[in-house]
Amino acid sequence: MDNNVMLSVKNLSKHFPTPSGTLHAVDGVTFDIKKGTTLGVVGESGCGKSTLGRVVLHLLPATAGQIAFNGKDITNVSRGELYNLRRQMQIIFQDPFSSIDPRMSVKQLLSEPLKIHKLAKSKEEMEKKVKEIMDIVGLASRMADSYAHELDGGRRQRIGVGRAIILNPSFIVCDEPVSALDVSIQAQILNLMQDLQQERKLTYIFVTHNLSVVKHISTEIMVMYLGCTVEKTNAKELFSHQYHPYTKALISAIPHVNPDDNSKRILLKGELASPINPKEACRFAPRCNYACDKCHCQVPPLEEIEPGHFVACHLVREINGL
Amino acid sequence: MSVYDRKKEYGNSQWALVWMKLGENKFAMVSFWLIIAVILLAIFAPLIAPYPYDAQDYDNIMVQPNLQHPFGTDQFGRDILSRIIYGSRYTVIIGFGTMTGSCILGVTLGIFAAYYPKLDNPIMRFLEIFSNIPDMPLLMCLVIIMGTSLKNLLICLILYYTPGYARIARAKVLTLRNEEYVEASIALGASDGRILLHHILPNSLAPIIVRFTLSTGGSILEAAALSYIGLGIQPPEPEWGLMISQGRQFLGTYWYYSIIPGLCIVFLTYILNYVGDGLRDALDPRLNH
Repeated sequence: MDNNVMLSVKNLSKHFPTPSGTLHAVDGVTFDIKKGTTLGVVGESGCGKSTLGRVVLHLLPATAGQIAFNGKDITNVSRGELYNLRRQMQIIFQDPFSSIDPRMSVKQLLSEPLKIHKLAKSKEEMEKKVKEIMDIVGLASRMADSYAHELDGGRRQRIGVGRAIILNPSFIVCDEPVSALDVSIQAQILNLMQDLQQERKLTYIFVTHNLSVVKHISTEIMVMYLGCTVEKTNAKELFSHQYHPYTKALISAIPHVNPDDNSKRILLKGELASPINPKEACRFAPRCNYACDKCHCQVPPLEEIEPGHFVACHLVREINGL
Repeated sequence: MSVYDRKKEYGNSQWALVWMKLGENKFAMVSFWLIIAVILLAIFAPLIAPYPYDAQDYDNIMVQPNLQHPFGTDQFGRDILSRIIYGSRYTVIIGFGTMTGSCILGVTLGIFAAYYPKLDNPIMRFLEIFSNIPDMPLLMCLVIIMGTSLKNLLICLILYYTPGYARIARAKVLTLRNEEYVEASIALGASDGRILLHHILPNSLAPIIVRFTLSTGGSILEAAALSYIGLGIQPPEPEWGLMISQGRQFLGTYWYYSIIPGLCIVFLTYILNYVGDGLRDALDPRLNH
């Protein structure tokens, strides 16, 4: 296996049993992330992007597939191994209001990871480390005794980032870390995360539905639709030419700054199909303008159309004239 | 007052803030100090009471309230004031003993039931045996089976109050265990014990504390009722409920014998409810600002 790959996921699936059938939240997703890069995962609400991040971190058990971290299979790990793994894999949550215990001060929140992993021998060492992290994530030391409800969203999210990096992990799942924040604060947090990535050689999975954010931060982008990968390539390539009809519609939905720009928006008709007991077909077919008979009865495989550019569509060559 | 001003004045813990908000409620604050006074009265009863509770004075039988005996004497010439003061010991032990016991037992069971789904049905269905039978028949049966004594009375009342705490704790934990900050701790590698003790318990304390104060009064009433019908504290011990029962036969002529211990129960239950009410408001984080 390539030594440079931090995380390798193969055919990962996560199904939830529900009263009306099996909900396919993630279905056969495959990807590799190289060390020090960012994989952006985009898609509309309910397409399984957050579930994917949680399954990778073992916050939810996988239904099928393999996860390898640093070349080692971690799909079925024991409690003890998982405890050690947690130091290297962390998560930043979407909502800085609900992901922080309201009864803990900033100092308590930041020292919790150190206590869990017994990383500080003395109280002084603990305080020193907490102070260092507060400096790094940009929290003034006078806030050490504040509680989360006294801080604004940006500062709370800085706590979230601090809690994730204080263990010195090499891999972080960012689950829409800026979508609950004001636009001005979004930029601050994104810059902080990028600086941290450069300094600490971090690898990110960046889950979001915000296309401009994902363009800004990602090395590679994976577009998901109803639990499946529809297109995957590097960030520049994806924004310059898309091959999958869904990605085309998604990119065309980005609002333009230039009022004279008359490029047409591709409007999708219909609703997101139900992820419960999906039939053997292209998941996007019911809303696709190009769908043919084949699309309604066969799952399209993820094919490498150009070097490094993967698309899952039966008609990709016809539509794009390749 | 802003949060920052409050902090300067009262320090930085959440409990300091709760204490301060309780202070803004005058009724609750006065009641709180009165409860402390009753507890002190119980502890120092021998020093405060003018006579021993069982000293019989046959020259002064059924004396109306006067300077020597502010609340009068009973049919054996015992000073009623002294008996009330000594009786506060039973009331305090029963009230707070029952609540502490049932709180610890109920909360522990409730947390386990909610956090480990396999234990949920066995624990909760078992506790419902106690909560589905009306209070008096249940307590009477238990006392009759076990025999009348202070210890047995406490055990019965603890059993009776445990399901309530278990249900509150369970409901709270069921909502809290799906909170994102609990998931965040799991992602950090925290053990179950750490999550329960450091995240779930502190966040579920508020309704439990409120129930504690509000039902202390209830347990005092239950104990007094049991004593009244002869299944609680036995004579010659001075217990408020028992005293009401003993004075009952003289109610026509010597009203104070029953009425004064009755008023004591009413008074203590009232102030406990005021504190409980005040705490409910003070502990509500939505009213923080």
